[in-house]
Amino acid sequence: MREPKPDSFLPLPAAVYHILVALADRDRHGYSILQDVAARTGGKVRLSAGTLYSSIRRMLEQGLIEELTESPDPSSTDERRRYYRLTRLGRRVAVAEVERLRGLIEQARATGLAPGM
Amino acid sequence: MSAAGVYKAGLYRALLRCYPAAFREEYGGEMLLVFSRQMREAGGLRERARIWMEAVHDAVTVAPREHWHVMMQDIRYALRGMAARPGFTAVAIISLALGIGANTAIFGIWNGLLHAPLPGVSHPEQLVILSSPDDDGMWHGNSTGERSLLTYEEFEDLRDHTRTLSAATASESSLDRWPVRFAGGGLEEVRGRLVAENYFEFFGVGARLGRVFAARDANSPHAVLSYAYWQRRFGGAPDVVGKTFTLRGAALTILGVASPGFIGETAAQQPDLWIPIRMQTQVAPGEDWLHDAPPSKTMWLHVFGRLKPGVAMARAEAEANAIFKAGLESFYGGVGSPERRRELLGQWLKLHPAANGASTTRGDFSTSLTVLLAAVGVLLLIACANLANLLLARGEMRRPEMALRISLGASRGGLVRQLVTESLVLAALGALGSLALARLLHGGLTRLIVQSDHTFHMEFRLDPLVLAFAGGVALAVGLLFGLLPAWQATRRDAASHLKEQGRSGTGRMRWGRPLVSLQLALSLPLLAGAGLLARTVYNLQHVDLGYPVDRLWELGIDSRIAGYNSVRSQALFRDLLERIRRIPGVQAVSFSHNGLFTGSNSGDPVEVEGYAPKNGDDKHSAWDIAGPDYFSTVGIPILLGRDIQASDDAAAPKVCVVNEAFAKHFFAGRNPIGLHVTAVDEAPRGVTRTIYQVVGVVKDAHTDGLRGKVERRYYVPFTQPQGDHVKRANFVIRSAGEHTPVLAAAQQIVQRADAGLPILYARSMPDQIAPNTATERATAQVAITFAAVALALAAIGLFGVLSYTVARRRSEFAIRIALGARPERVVAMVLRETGWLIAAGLALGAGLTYTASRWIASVLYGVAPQDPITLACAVALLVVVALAAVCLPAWRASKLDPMATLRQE
Repeated sequence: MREPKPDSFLPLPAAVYHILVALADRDRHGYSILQDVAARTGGKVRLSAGTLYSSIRRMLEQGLIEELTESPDPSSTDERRRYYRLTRLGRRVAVAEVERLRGLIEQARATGLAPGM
Repeated sequence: MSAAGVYKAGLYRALLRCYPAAFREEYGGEMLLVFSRQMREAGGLRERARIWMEAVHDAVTVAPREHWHVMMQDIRYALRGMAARPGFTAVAIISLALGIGANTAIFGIWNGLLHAPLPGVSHPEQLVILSSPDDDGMWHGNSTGERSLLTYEEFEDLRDHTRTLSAATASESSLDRWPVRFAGGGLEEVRGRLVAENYFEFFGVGARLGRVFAARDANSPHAVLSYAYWQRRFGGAPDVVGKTFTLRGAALTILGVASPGFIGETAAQQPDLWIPIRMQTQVAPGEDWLHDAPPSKTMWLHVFGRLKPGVAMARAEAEANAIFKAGLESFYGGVGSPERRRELLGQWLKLHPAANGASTTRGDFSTSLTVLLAAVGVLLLIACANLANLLLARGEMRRPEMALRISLGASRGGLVRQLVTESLVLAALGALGSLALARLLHGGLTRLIVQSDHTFHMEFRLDPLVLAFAGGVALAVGLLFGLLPAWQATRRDAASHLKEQGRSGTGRMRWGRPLVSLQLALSLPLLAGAGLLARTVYNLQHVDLGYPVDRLWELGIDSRIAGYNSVRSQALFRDLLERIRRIPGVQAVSFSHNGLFTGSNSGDPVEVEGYAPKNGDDKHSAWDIAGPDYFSTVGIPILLGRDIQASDDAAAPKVCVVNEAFAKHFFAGRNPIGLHVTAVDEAPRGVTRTIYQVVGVVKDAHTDGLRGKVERRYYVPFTQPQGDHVKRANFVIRSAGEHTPVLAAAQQIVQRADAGLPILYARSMPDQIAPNTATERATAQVAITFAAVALALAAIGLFGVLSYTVARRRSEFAIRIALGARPERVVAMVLRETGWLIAAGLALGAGLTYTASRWIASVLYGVAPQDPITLACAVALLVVVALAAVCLPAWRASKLDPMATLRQE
């Protein structure tokens, strides 16, 4: 089956964008994603458990992320933990979203709306 | 975990119940972990409160989205499944669409005509009608007993003196057809009504354009158009206000257009325009319907009132009767015989609730529509049984799939939900189809009713009640017949399903067989009912009228409206008679006052020589005024004496011809020829007697209605009328050939004689009689259609169950054939089983038919409700169709290739 075009997912809902970014550098479980998002945004964005797993369910169906069959952390003893990884499509979608956001900032800068950015 | 921790986890688990089960099973554990960890690491009370708030917020925002997602997934799956089985899907949707559509259409008309309040009227629940809502027309003369229609003076009395009604208004009881001419246009016909000047104010109806007339316009030549007519005739043009038109010489100005949706005070009629009642003398010149000159009254109005708050109907009725009787006292005074005066003063009014207005159609179609509503209810049951059968069969077919899915860990609840969703999607599509079908059926039904009542008009409207009905039925059917097979399909444990998989045993389908029998049973009363109605129509169309109707034509004119008095009318009719007789192809021509099947009739008390009446009714007889050679023209055999002749003129001795019923009643055993009949006109200001000598006796003939006995009647020459009755002529023309243009020629002659003479109608005799059978024809046509659909659905059901059974028993049949059973034997086996289904269905159906038949007894004619021939025909038809439906599955069973089948199994 042909992979869908990344642009067809844009603009991304904020929760999906943050999850993609959190998974960009390493595989994570749900709570780790929450912590990463909170840390990266200085506590400004706090995903709730419902929003997180509803987004994860949708992203799994869309093929943006995948669930790992084994824990990437051999030291983890908690088998209930489920880990997620960015797929190739997920990465392309995240990049496309970043490009879209960059374009928006460029436009704002060109009109003097955001000179310092 | 601490006690508080356990408590919190329990509370969070409870919140998780808001999510769909599948989501909860997949992510519930993780979410609980996350929640617990967040709570553990929370800095303080405020942080913990925030986490709780988020959890609750998720439960009310995220959880519904997840439910929606699951539902959409189920619907997508259901649609894919339906597309994969187009035959099943089509039959299921069509069954349901037919069942609900037929019900919606009949229910819409039944409700609109019989029960729904008048559209566009404010506070219809306050309305009462002081006349009889089921009657219309116009009566000149006197009345006794309960009064059906009122005179204008009686209305004025009631309006001016009532204390229990906040207002009263009056309207012409029948819808008129008026010839009008708009400036620069040709002559066209409009349907209009004369109404009291407070009519619009009374009903709380405003103007969409211009204004409606009010008290100050009472004597102004104004008209108000209905919204529908404005749209149809003028395309909604705003410059219509102020336009003028002529109606029988009167020039009228359009004052405005009434609010959309308002049809007036009569249910299922759509007037084109309304004119103030005081314009009557101008729109019907030569007539005065507004003033009653003793001895006779002109009764033509419906009178409506609005009850004051807190006033009971009984009180308003008592007051109305007091006013009405005071009026009668002053009108009839102290004149007339005491007995007659007592009869005339004994009249009374009865108040009826009038939220749904007046309607004569209501009375005509009430029984038929109720019978049809019951019939479509049965049709819906059959459709539901069909759908249930299909869904049960599908459930059976999908058992292995369900077993596999359960064994792979799917929850039973999820599978049931998915199967029910599929049924609901089917039901929803069926309901949508039904609305389209209902619209089509509504159009067809309306056209059928119009054949019997040309003023009938009802727009197809999806009122909330009808929508709720269709939606409710679809939902109930979807849930009930979705849940049952779903429950069956997922009932047993996975292991036993899997063990059974691949082994086809005897057909399970425990529900299927009784359902098929039930379908057949329900079809039988519909078939028998349709058969009885069809025979009723046949009988009515073949009633021996007492004269041949072929080559007989009828043309009616009204000389009153054109301003003729009785003497001038006589001369006119004589002249027309001569001219029409000279038309090539005319064999004979004559005329009468009441004519044949015109809806007009006359009657009076008579005194018959040598006869002592037993009571007041006993001396009553119908009468007619006829032209020369009337009976030989119509073809009514003369049993004794002679026809009315041209020589029976004003100067000759007064003579009459009586019919058989008259002769039998008044002259039992005596020869009537030469005896005398006295027509008594018991006018309050004095009794007038006209004595006629009987010169002929004619065979009884149906001249007014098809049903019932021919009433006693006497005929007098038009040159020797009783009273002042020669104002209307219904010409009867007997032509030499079947298709001769005599009618067109006769119309031209009338127009040439006087262009202002209104031709009431011009038709062949069969066309003239047709409206008398229209109600029955309409009912029969609809009933036959529904019976055919019911039969088709039952046949589909039978075919489906048999096909399924044969498919399930392939291996058994294959083994039998392999062991030497001949194909005929296999066919016989299948047919034997079917025989039981059919027999059970017929036995139940016969019982239902017997019980239901008495409901339609009142609409039947010439056939008993339990007519054995009709029932036998219905049974035979049902058996033939049922056998045809099982032929294909039986043939398939006999044609199995044993080796191939067993290898496959």
